[in-house]
Amino acid sequence: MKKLLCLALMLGLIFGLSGIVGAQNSIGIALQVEPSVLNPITYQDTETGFVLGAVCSPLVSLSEEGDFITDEAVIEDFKVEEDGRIYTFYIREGITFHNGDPLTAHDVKFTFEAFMDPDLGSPHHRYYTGIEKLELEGDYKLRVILEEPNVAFLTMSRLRNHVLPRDYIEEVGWDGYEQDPIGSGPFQFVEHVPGSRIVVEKFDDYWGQEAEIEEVVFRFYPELSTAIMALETGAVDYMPEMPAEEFMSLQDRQVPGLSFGTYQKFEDHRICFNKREDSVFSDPRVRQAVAYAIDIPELIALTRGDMAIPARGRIPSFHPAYAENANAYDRDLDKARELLAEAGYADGFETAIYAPAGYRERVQETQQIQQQLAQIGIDVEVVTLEWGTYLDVTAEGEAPMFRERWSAGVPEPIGFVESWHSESSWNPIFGTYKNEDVDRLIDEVMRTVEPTERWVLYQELQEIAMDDVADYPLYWPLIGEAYSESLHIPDNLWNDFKRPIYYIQFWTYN
Amino acid sequence: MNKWGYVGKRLLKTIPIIIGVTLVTFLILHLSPGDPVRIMLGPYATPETVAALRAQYGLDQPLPLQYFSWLGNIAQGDLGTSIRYNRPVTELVQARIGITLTLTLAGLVISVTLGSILGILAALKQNSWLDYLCTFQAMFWISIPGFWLAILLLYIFGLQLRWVPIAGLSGFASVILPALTIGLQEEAWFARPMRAEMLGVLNEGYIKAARAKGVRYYRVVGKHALRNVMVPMITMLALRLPWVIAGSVVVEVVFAWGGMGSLLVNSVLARDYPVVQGILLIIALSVVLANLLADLVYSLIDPRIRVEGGKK
Repeated sequence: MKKLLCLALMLGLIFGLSGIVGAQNSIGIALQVEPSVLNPITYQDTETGFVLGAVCSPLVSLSEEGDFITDEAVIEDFKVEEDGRIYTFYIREGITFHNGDPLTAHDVKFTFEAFMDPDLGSPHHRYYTGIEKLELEGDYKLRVILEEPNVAFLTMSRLRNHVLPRDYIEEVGWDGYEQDPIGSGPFQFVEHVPGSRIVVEKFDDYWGQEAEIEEVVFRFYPELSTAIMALETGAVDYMPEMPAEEFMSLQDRQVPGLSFGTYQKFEDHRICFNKREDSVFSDPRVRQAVAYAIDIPELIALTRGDMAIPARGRIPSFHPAYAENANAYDRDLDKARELLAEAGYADGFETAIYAPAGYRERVQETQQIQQQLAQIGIDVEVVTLEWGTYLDVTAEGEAPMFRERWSAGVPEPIGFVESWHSESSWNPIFGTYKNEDVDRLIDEVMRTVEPTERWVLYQELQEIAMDDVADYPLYWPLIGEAYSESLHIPDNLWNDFKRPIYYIQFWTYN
Repeated sequence: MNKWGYVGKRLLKTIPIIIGVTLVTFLILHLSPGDPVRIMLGPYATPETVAALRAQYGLDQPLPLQYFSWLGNIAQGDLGTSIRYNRPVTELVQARIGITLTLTLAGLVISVTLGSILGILAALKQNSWLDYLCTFQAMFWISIPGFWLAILLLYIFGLQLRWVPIAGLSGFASVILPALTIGLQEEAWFARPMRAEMLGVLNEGYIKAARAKGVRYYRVVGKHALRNVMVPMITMLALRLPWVIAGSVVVEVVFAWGGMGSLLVNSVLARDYPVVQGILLIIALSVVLANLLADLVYSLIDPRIRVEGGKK
């Protein structure tokens, strides 16, 4: 009994001492997944991006309209020459990393080289392969020369928003960096308690907007309902990218003490078809019939409530390249049956639609689509596969239809359309597609430096691809985020070009 | 044979068990669908990147080769490197094992204490309303799924009453609910045998003799009877340990404690083979050792039990 008492006392002591040490001015952010590796070059998960976004500074930033600007960015100016083949960056003087080292063009060059180094294994390596030369001119000017003009270069290769400290990494190595990452951002890394939290605190010598919040604690809640309860009780103050269902439930219940914000994401949800010759979907009339038979508002109501916008073309409607004249195939069962008959399938046919298991929305929607297509005589089998298997099967053309989701890099919407180019490496992955007009227009987009001219080309090529139903876009999701009403988050951050979580230095207390 | 000879023999016997465990965990993981590299890199990765990373982690090797090289590394105390976290598995586990042990221990303390007290009470007041109440509540807690009980407790005491913070492991108050979840779930396993054993012992002649001598009732129960029911209780403790650890894994995730449980769940989802294999191996080892320890403790409590294994 004495031993038990001793044990109880010891336990009490341990936990008594390890209580939360929350600074006065500290906020908590709920993450559902623990960030994997705090390394800007190799990370893949969004959660790591949130933490690194607070610690590191971007090379160039975006305005709320999606224009490249230099606010809060390490460059004070940049120049594009030769139709987008040469990019010159003028680095701001007087920026220091968290260890006191000055940030110079050498660091920017080092970061580009790290992304280009195949040995470091960056998943974004291929976006940097078009770089022919990196030329330093003094300590604060860097010229990036590409092999050929690429207007999407800044979208694809913005160093994933993180300029790295060269000297520090050469001193401590990549392993050392992952343990104690430093950057030049508004917050500096304090600690990572494995399985529990990552803490960052305000960096006093930050050159940009001074943060009012002194400390940010990223807490990991693997169980979603716990995270929501933590938000309701004020144990955390913000939860990014909430699942639509949970967000709407909180909003409907009007939970006291919480505020809500939404923004449209640069992402589309769509159905892809295997359009290879042996597939029934190689006939565009069959694809059009499917498009006419699908009831998009019903799908949205099923899985997202009012947290999505029906799609028209692929590029989301808040972007100027949105194709408002593209065919969206509003539901018309008679037309669908007519098209099927024309294609020789008056009595319908059997096929299958694939979705990755574990993605609740996508699986539920394919089941709904199964019922909708049954109304025009198409007998659809729903196949759910584990993620890796799903990727293999769909890429190899074994899935006649599959339910896809795609997020593109901001702001250049090339990511939405490049898979339609017959020579793109993405083309076979999404069921192959070839239309010479679309190929030509995509090539033209890549050479057109003037944005407004590019937007017109995007619109034109989307209209053509939609007539063909190269894919069938379903909707563009809205992202909901809940936060403590004691916080004020500026309105201009609520868009996918900026996003509140990447600009915590602009949050204030009410 | 002396005691140490017996321990040695028992330890040797655990080797085939451990090898069996490694083989089963390895096969289940590697034969189930899912590719850690694909999951990590996501949909945007090129085939070359995927292949390069697979090679880096040796996943392109034939399965038997992967298994034996893993086994060889274990023999040298190296559990491998996590694919998701890019850190040695031993380091990841070290950082979290204390949390899981704390929860396991705290849960066990509550369940054994609660179970013993209720079991004894039920035996002493056999067939009374107290007895029925003890039985009912034990059955009640054991029938509720652990994760649901955890969420329910968190909802009542964390969200509605706000008695405890919902911020993971943060001070003594945050230990109460998780430990209580495990304690309540496991308590029946100790209360029921305690009651049955106690009833048996109380009818023994030596208890009656002690009472006849004029020893006080609570002293008879506390000293003579209790000591005799300890042996089956220790057996139960060793038997329940794997379940308590498994329970901790679930409870930890709900309460956001970030011990081995959360690491295990995350790693299973990411198909992070080295981490899952390492954690399962450690759990298996601890169960085997706990059983061995239980056997040794018997002889301390009851000198009649010799380690060669006289009495069950």
